[in-house]
Amino acid sequence: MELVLGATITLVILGMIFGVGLAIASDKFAVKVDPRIDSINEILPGANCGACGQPGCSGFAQAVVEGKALVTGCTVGQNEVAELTASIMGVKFEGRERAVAVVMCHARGIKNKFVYHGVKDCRAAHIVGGGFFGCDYGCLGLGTCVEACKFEAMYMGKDNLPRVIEERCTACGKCAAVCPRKLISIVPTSKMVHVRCKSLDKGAVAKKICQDSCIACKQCEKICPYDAIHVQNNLAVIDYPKCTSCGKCVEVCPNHTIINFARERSLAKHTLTV
Amino acid sequence: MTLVKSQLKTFLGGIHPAEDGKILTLGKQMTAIPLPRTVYLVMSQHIGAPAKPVVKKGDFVKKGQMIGDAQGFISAHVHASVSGKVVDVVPWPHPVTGIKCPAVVIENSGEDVWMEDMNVAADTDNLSPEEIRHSIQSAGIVGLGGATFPTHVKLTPPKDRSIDTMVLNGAECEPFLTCDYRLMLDKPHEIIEGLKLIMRCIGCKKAHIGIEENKRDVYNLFKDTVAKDPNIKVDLMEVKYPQGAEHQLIKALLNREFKPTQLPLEVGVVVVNVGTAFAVYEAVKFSRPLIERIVTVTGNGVKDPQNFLVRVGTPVRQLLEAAKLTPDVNKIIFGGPMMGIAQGNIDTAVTIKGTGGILALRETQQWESRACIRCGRCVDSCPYGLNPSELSIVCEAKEFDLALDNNVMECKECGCCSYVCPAKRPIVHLIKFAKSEIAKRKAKG
Repeated sequence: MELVLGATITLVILGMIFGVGLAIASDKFAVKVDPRIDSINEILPGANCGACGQPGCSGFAQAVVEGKALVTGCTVGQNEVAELTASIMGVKFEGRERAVAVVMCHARGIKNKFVYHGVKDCRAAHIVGGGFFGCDYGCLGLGTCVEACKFEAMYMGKDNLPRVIEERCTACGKCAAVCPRKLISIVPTSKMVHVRCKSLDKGAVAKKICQDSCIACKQCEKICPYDAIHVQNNLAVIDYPKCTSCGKCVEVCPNHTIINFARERSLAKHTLTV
Repeated sequence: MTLVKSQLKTFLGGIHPAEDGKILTLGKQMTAIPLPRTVYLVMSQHIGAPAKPVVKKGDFVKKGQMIGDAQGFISAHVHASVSGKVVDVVPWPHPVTGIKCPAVVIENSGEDVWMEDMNVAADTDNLSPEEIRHSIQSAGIVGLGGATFPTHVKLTPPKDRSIDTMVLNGAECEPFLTCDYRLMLDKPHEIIEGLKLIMRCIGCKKAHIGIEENKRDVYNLFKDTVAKDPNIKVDLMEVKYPQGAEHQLIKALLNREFKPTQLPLEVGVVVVNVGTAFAVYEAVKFSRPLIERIVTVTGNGVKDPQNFLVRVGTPVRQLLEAAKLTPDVNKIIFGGPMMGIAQGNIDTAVTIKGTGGILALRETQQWESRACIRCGRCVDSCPYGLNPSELSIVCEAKEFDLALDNNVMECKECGCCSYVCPAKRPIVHLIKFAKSEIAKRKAKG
């Protein structure tokens, strides 16, 4: 009994000493953390996707508070998160347009250059003889972008081209970053007209390889009333800030390389990019 | 594996295929093929910055005329390999990378005339090291062992390093290839002369010549050739791949070791291939630029395997047809089977300075790659002491940071691990993939 009592008293005394010590230490050596970091971290989506360029969501929160990142930096959280972050930081947020990933290749029925037996990853395939795909600029179709998507917003279509499920797309840009051929662009949803080809081959060569390729005929350049589309290096390129998605270039494009998403987007419940 | 330790010089690790295919072309003398009607000279025939075309469509060029100007120090000139008219300067798929790079297309006029002041014998006895280096640089010589590193850069060691030993690489460890063997057999004196010129250029006194044991006739020939010179030693080495790689060669001959990421310079050594030494001799003695080399055309896809004397830029189809290509060939490899690069298109493939062999294979077996069974054979075979099994697993999972932790950059892609892997994993391809991704990330910053 005495033994138990002695032990209990000793432990209580020890506990009190340590308790007081810890209390003093926690006060004296406290690391001052900006409370805003925690509150921003709480409202972030928590996917740790890294799309903002920071190491995870807490890294982003810290970067925002330190002034190294914009309050609109989290594309995944969209306007909602940006607004809350802005209010925590005490700045004004004027709204930002939603963007989605668009695959800029429409290749169908292209013959492969050679039989590829290597690693099933576009990036690995791209370094083998410049890629097995018939077109040097087109989609290799091994689904590296689909694999990279953290939000299940992409899938491989039956024609070996990736599809974006626009409702789920958060414009994080992961797919665009892994594509070895830079075929995926993050474009605001208001921009409906896209040149779905990246081939820099001369018109005749490109046409021979792919029936859907841009042949640099400049029809689009001529008809555009807003001076928003230009042929550079054998490829039509849209200047998105100028483009109004009027769709005139889509009508004149002889190869149907330029595509208007307006119809699909207004029709479909789940807005797939066809 | 033999229980008795070989008395021959060698290194740890490595492999040796039981049938190395050299028998196909071992007895085949160097033969010149008819001059190509058109040559395609890609501007990137070396490691480093691509050369810039200095001729334009419609120009007439003579054999040996410089058509590509080296850009920067680590780069090499490109010379016309035939005389004739420049038909075009077009983007052409590079035979190694497959990516399009500018190429000068020359239509052979058939005259085959040398540029003035080329192809004349000069007195080499009184040349200063700078003059030798200048001749090598203006001849556009690159390492002909396959890596195509510009030779003049190799022979310009930093001032604080001294080179005490030269190593002449006559190992030719790649299966199937016999181009170096034939060259050594036919031109021993020229090769030794070239070696001496290089030694004078970098100011080193000693040289070792490493020759694999399966080339005993060459070994005896070289022994006789250098009998009077006590500074040049000829060594016989065990037949093993990659005996001809710089690290393994230096370890075997000189017992010096250095990190895989370092250059032989670190241990005071410069390694050159026998083909390079011969090209140096040709360049310094006769002012002939590097426009011709021996190419072994072999494999079971050709009926008549040969060692051809080939102009740089010759279309591969012509070479294969000269060696009687079989119709059912289904793989064409530039280089040997271990490190060679498979070609995507037989019609656009053209030889470059580094092409030592063209392997045509039919009925190539295809295996499905499976998960690593951790047998450790790749670890035993890796001549650089890496763990290819772990590397292949982390690279497959795209964990490039882990790959870096496992020293992926020290891999030289020799292919021993893929060769021995019973699960048929594409280990080298995975490592190449990781390396290219890491390089991309580095470039981004």
